[in-house]
Amino acid sequence: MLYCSKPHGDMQMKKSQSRKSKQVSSEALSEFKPILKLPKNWNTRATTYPKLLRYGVAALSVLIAALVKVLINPYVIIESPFLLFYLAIVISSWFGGFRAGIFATVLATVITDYFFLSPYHSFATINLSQNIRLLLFILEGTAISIVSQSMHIALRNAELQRARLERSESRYRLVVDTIRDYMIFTMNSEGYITTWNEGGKNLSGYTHDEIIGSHLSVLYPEKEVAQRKPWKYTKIAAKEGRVETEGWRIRKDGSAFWGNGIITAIRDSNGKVIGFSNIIRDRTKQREIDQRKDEFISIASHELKTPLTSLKVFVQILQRLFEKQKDINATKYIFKINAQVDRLTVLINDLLDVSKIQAGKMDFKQELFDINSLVNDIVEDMQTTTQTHKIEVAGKTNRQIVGDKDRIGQVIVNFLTNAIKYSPHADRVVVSIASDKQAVTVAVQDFGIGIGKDYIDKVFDRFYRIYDTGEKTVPGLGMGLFISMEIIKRHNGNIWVESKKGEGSKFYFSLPYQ
Amino acid sequence: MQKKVLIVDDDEGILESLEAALSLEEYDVLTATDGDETYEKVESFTPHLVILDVLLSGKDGRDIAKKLKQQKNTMHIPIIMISAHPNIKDSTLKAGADMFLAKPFDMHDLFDSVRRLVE
Repeated sequence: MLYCSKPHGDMQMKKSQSRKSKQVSSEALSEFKPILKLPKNWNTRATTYPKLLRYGVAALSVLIAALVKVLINPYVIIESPFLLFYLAIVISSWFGGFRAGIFATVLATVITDYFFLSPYHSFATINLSQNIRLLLFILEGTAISIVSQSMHIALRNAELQRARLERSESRYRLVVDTIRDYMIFTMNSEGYITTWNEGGKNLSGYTHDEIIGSHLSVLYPEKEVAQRKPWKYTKIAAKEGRVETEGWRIRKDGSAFWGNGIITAIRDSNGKVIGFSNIIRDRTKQREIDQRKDEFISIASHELKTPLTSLKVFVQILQRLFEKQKDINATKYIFKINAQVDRLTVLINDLLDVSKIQAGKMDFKQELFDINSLVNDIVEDMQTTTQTHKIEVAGKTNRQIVGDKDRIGQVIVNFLTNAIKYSPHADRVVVSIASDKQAVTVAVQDFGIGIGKDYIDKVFDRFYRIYDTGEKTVPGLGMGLFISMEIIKRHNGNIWVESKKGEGSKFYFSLPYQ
Repeated sequence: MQKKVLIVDDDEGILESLEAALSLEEYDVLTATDGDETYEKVESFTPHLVILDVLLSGKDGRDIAKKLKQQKNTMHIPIIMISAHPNIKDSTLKAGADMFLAKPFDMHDLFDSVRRLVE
């Protein structure tokens, strides 16, 4: 049944299914398709010959066997009348497939019965023993045909597999070799380079022949070699699976480029490290751009704040003059100008903070401080800026915190500013301080518009602002909570919010004792 | 007696505004824009306080502060350092500044600080 001729229909169905499921990828892999399609049936090379040839070969080999038998019969006594035909069946099934093998078996049976079994030149048999021998021969011929074809297919599969591996490896090599922008190479477990691609030559100047057998450290500056950095990197990669590397790398001509790379450990099937791969790209230009960007942000914020400083002082001088003259309208307007200058200042500081966070350059001081007095100072200060809300403080802690006091203060100010901003119709805001064994928690609660369920997860996103139908949109770039989250995260703390639409919000942060 | 304040900044706008503000508070104000002018005016004017910007063109205000605090005849003069970079507060205090204000500051904070250091 295994080798019946029916599964053709099944096969076609499978083919169309696999074609459907691979529609997208097969386009992309159109070149790979022939090697990916392994024979799933008996339709191997054996049966790719024309039918006439397959059966012709079967007939011919049986006839030759018969002829040989006739020719050697006078000289050699062969006990079994079938012996020479086995070879013919093997040849037939090997060359023509299972059915050609069966054809040869039947033909050999007929010839043997007619010519070589008494009574000769007759199909008649004389006893049961002859019948059994003929039957056994047919069974053996069938078995030979099966085995022969199975072996043939196994060999063919193995050959295809090998070809596929060879092709995939040569393709992989081709891909890796022709990449010019990434240095891709492998090393043995000691860090000596074993393969090298075109990108390696392009970036470092070393050709394949020049670098093979050299140690990884040949690409590192002397100082880092003295610090044994390349060895440290491979040690980490072996331990942790991979390591990211960044720094100056040295070309053949001695010049340097800023290389960013990943060293990955290569393991055998037992998990033993047998080598490493290393991919490095040239980030020299990117590094310069990053540095210039940081510098630009720093200079821009400085340049923006300088005129703002004198603007603020002049505005406050005017405010004082108008107050003296008791010009109520002018005093009112100048107060508003002052508030706008303050907003501008906050925006510039926030922009600077966001760009620092993105560049990974926000630095934090580590100092011991009392969070109660920090909260009280800020509340006292903020109270002077709002006439609408009364800011209340509840609870206190007797534990001190280690961290950046100014940055933590920034978070509290942000919470309070939001609380006032988003509760235009309320008249109070509550700040609470609580502590347990692990951490101190500060919360700022307002009784304002609150946050809908759909938005609550987004409030800490960068540039997110609470929009709500029916509510006046509150201005701002939405950077404050993003910055606050970063500050708290960097202190290993937690930040979260509880809120109900229409009832207000409670923003929390907690900081662990250190 | 009128107290004397020397303001050092390389930005014309800052000098003008601070001069106007402190004059309003009846201080005798003089300005300087670089290091040499600062040393010169500290010598001749003998101010009761110096307001010193950190980032001066071609000179770090912290170096000026250090020098003033090292010299015998000027070490008693209180210094308020001002900068648009809020993170450098610690380094200014280390350089010898008595107080630090981040730009842009509130005029009343400035008055408070000046008053506290001068009297």
